[in-house]
Amino acid sequence: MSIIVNLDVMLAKRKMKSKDLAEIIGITTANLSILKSGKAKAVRFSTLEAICKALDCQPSDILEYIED
Amino acid sequence: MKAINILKRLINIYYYLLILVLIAGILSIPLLILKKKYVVKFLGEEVDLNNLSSLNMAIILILVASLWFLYFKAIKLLKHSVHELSEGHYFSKLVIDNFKTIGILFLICGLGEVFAKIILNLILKNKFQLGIDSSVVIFLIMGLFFMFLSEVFLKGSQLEEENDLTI
Repeated sequence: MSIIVNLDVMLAKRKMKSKDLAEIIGITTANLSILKSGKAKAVRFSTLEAICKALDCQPSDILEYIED
Repeated sequence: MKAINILKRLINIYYYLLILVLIAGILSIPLLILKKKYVVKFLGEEVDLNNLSSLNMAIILILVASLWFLYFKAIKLLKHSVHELSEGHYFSKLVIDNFKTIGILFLICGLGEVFAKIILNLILKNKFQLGIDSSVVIFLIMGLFFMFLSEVFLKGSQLEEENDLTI
């Protein structure tokens, strides 16, 4: 898929664990894992908003478009 | 009681009745061959076994038995599918595949019945007669409906997967 999720990078920058982020934004660690692995088909605006708020970043810091 | 549970029980009863018919059918074949004094009804046509040669009787028996087994197989798949649906697995691969197969089997049953009636008329009345009645049309409608239902469930399965992978 040409949309890359850089959630791992942001988590490392903020020194936050996946489990903690999942807890803050209110999703399961399994769903967060799907998002991190790029297997997700779509991301809700509400989830994106919660992630940006928790990591204090912009959507562009998490999502990146790379041409195939 | 939910409609699916009533349907499940009804199909289960019908399925076991079909098994009884199957056993009765298998038991009656040697009697038909040995006694040859029966007038039996195949696909709405009365067949006097006295007037039939062994070859003709074999053709009729094979035709009727084949159609019956295809119908039995369709009902068996329907039983499994309804069981799966009653468990709440609406968009499973089993249901999608089974509905498609049931549709194809019903279509074959419908077209096979037309073919069998032509053969029966050729053997019994020595004339070509196209026998299309309501049961044939119902089979064709049900067959196409189940094939369409399979496509609907496939679409549902894709939507469910998309929904599951939306975070």
